[in-house]
Amino acid sequence: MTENTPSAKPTPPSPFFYAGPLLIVLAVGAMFWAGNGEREADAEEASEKVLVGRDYYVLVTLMEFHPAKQGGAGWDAGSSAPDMYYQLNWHGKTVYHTKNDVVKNALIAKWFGLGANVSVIELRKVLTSDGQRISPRNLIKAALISVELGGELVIRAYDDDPLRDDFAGDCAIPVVDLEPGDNAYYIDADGKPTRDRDRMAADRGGLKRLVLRVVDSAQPAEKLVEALR
Amino acid sequence: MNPRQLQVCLAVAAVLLGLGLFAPCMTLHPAFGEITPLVRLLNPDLTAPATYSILEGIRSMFDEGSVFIGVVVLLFSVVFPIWKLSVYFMAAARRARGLETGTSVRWVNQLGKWSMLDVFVLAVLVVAIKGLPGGSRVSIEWGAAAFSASVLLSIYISLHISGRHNSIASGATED
Repeated sequence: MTENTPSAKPTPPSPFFYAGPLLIVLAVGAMFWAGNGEREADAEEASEKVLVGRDYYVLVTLMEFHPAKQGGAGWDAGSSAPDMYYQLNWHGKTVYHTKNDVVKNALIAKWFGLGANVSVIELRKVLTSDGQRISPRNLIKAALISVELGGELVIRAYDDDPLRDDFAGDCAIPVVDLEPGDNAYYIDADGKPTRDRDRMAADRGGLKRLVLRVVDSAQPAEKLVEALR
Repeated sequence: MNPRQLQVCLAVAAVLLGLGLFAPCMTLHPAFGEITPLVRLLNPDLTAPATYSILEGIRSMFDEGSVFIGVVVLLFSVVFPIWKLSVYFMAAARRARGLETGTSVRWVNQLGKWSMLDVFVLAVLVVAIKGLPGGSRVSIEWGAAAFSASVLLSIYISLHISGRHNSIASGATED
């Protein structure tokens, strides 16, 4: 039988003590990542539908065509890609179009909600005529619609041709289903818009997908600039 | 300072270091002089404020090909502070058992002067970015304060660890 005596040498601590600070730092990092994940989830949940009675700017920021028209025919002579543009129809009327902003020879087109179809000199006048103030409302390139029950927004896509424009497809969306921000729609095998990418038609031809941006028009000009960029 | 107090201080320093590395450290507000409103209008991405933590800053250095600077900052802002706290953690545990703090403490204290390089690098980065033309400015976020507090606390701890180490060494000589 042995006894501990005052002269017994103390045992050294486990080498795992070295890992203590590293584990604490990693734990703090893990809490940060978890916190960021929750904030992103909250932000997603906060994405609500548009409000009935309010006015919103809408525009297509991205549109993609299939490599061929519906029926399988080529878009243009030879192997040229289509010259893409779209119309926004609301209450049966064309409220916005990009016929004057055609994206030539492309299968994917992008448009921006802020135009710079003014010369730099003109724009400087806008910017500096009364000090530093910016007035971008006259540069907004989007349709303004009001959200009403039963209202429908129709996006019609075209290939711009010299003689007769080719219709590429359309996408009819009840306006109450829109969400502020970017709304991605995919055209399914029946030609209907769906938010489910997996249901997108693989080789239907014509319009393939689009992204519709919806921006509350009641925001201050600076926030509109940020949202429509 | 007894070993228990040392361990608490070390745990606090490690938490502060974690916050300093992962929390927002600085926000860059780009500006382009008189044409800032024009740039904001035509390409808002260029003028959007960008917030970085120290780790995000290091990652962006690697992404942009500044591997050498990235490695230096990684070593002296991340690896060395964690190693230093690890050595002190072990030293405090050894002191609690009545043992000498070990030779690693001497190494850390020898290299201690390098430990301020992380603060120096941070300061240089801030000054460099603040010196950009066009009115770009940098605002310091709370992560930088946490990082600085961790560095200062580890210096404070090192004074107590070092003192104990010397007294043990001198005691051993007397024996």
